[in-house]
Amino acid sequence: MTRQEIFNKVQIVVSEELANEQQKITPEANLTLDLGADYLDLIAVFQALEDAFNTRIPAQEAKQLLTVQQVVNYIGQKVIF
Amino acid sequence: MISKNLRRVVVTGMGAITPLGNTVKEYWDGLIAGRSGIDAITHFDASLHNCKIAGEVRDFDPHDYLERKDAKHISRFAQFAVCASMQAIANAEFKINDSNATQVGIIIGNGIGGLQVIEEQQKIFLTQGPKRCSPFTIPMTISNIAAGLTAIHTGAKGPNYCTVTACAAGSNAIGEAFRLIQTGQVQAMICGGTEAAITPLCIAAFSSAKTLSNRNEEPTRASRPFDKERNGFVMGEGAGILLIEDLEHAIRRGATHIYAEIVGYGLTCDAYHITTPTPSGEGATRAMELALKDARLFPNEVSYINAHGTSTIANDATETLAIKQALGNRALEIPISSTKSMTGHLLGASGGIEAIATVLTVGLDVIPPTINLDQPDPKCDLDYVPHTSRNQRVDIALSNSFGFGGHNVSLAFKKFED
Repeated sequence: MTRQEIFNKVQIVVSEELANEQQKITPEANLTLDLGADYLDLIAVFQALEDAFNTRIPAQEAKQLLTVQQVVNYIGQKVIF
Repeated sequence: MISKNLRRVVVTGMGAITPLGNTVKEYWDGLIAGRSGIDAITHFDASLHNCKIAGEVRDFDPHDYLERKDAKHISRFAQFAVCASMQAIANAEFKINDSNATQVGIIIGNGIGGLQVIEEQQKIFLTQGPKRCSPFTIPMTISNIAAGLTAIHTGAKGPNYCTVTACAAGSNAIGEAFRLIQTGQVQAMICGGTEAAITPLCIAAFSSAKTLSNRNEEPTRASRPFDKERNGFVMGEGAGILLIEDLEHAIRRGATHIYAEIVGYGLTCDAYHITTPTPSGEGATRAMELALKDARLFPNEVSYINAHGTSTIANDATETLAIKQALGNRALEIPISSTKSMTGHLLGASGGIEAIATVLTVGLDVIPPTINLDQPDPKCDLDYVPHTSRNQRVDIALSNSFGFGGHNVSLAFKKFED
């Protein structure tokens, strides 16, 4: 799975969970500051990402992932196809 | 009476989302036309259920009122409450801002809360494990969240809570709000009831308790209060919200319309059985008597009663007995109707939408009918305004709500006069 494919999938998941337009889910977008996620939204986003990529994202590691690009990079390191 | 210096309380705004339409006008027009909002259940596959009919809200789009992200995490019963409250505030042309926010409170009752979300999350819990449960599960399901969310979306920072008294909840909410204004604690209240319990489990559970009609082949004829052939209630969903104000506050701010005055609130408990009303009707009788005493009115002044009128065997006969006991000979002369014949029974929201029907009856001198009353039960021998609405002056009206657990509430409304 390429980084672009991971990004595309993250974009869909984040868009659905945060009820945002997909165009707003840019690599630079900060989940909290730009996309309006509060702490409950972030839990739901990472649950959905775990399901979408069939992986685990421990809470302590999720806390470090502030932007969409950081999420894509993190998943890229964990998901090997 | 609580204090010598009680404030007068008036209704200045209303909002409704109902099986007859999603505005007060659509709802009222449906009532007056004697139209049924009951049809086959579409919210889920009801083919295995004994009861396959309900009064569903149709064509409701929360995005007409709420941002997508907000709507996504507000369950249906709370969406109804928030949106109907927005309607009521707009209808009253009332502005909530920094200068008055602490003087505006909210009490919104409901019976069941966000059961739909509980059912969905329980499936996820069982199939995917505890770690997959949504973090929004609790804030989407707790009964008080309708009032809390309404505050978030309107800015009202006054008293805020939820009455959970089953099918009396909406009327309880209005009564409690009435008291807060009457005793001078706040100047305005958003109050009423909301419910969205047409879910697989809820329909199955009420059906198991033998309380629901299973007249599935004739949905529009299934809710038939006071009729000999009634065989249970039909569940409905929606919300009915009032904006009520201290009369002086309403006048001072230049309220565009005063629909009616709230003058009495009576509440009692049967202390008898979890689902069945006491056969003597004693609790319901006292609720009406207390509402009239609170309003300093006599039975001969009552000109209309919006009955609880569920269409169950027990309620309609017991309520009829209670009306006779509370109002004496006057009971035979008073037009009474059950608007549940058209909307179904909205449980905790019923008191809210029926308060709206009662307020409009008082304001417009038009009495909505009880449809499907083809052959009255001999135990139900009062004037239930069968089939078609009636033009008749209405100065004083009662709205009754009775709930599982034996909760009884009666509200008294009066035609507004300076």
